[in-house]
Amino acid sequence: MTALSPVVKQPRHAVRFADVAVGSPIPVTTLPLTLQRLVIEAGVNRDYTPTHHDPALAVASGAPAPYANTPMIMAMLEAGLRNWMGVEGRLLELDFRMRRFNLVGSLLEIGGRVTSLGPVAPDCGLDDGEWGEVTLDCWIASGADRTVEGLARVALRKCDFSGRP
Amino acid sequence: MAAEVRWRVAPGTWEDAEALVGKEITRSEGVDPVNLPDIRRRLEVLAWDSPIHYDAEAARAVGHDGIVSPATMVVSWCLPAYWTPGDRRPEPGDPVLMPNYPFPNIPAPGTALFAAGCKTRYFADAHPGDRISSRSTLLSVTRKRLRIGDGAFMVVRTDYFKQPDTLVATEDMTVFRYTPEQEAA
Repeated sequence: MTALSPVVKQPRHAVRFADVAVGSPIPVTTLPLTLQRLVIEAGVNRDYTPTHHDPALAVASGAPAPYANTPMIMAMLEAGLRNWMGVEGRLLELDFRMRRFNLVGSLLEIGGRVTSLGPVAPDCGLDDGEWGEVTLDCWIASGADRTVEGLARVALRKCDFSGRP
Repeated sequence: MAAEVRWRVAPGTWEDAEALVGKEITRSEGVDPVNLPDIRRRLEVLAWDSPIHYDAEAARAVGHDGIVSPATMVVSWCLPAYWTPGDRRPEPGDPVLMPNYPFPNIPAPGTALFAAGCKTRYFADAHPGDRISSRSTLLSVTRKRLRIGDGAFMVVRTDYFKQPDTLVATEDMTVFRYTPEQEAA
């Protein structure tokens, strides 16, 4: 009998506004984009457009191979940000452009870098005494190529719920 | 021989498309409410471990009303079913199933389209049990000739709501709709 792998629990870390500096990179989240993962992803996001999981139809459409769809790109960017900011932060905005296909067989790297710090916008519904806003460049890369580039805005807490910093 | 992947795009002229700028073009409602099994499978495929998406106690500890959906799942929460009881049975030779996104419904020339970019602002969290619906408006049509063909960039704004009328997110999706160069030749 093979012993089951121990369950690794993610520490419930939370990055606070004061922990962040302009220019800081966020840790890179990697994902090997296998055809199996694209098939599972289609079931998850329910965009069944065949160019995202059928090699012959992807090539017939002009793409080199099956590639990630828009809902998957959004989720990968959110997961990369969440892995960095931990359980407290709130996603306020994602704004990205697709530059190249995220092709089956690539090892995707989801990254980001803090570009500015400021008060939270009034329309986000968060108290600006308790929350600060962080803007980041964010991207998905495959090798030397940026496949997706954009910006993200997130809110990070300045203090805990009892007001302690 | 591979079948073609074709969006069932609404035919029309650029004037037809331009006449819709500022107008609501589609509404949609998700087939299922926000639910834990779908959230769990979203985490599974990306190997994404964040307790606010699976542990109610951890989510409440940071100010949520229980488990919260990943924000970007709002698009999927709003997709209708591909088949429902009463619809006809599938047959050989049927066109491929395509998601019910708003942009193919805009009458315009050209049969091909691709997503070029997307900006979404998130205003409220979605929780299991929430019903997500959307309203989409055409914001702009900008004619452009690219190497791949003649067409236009079109921006569609979709507002996502949870019951009764709480705005969850506003998405501005930019799509290029065009006639492929080899088709035009």
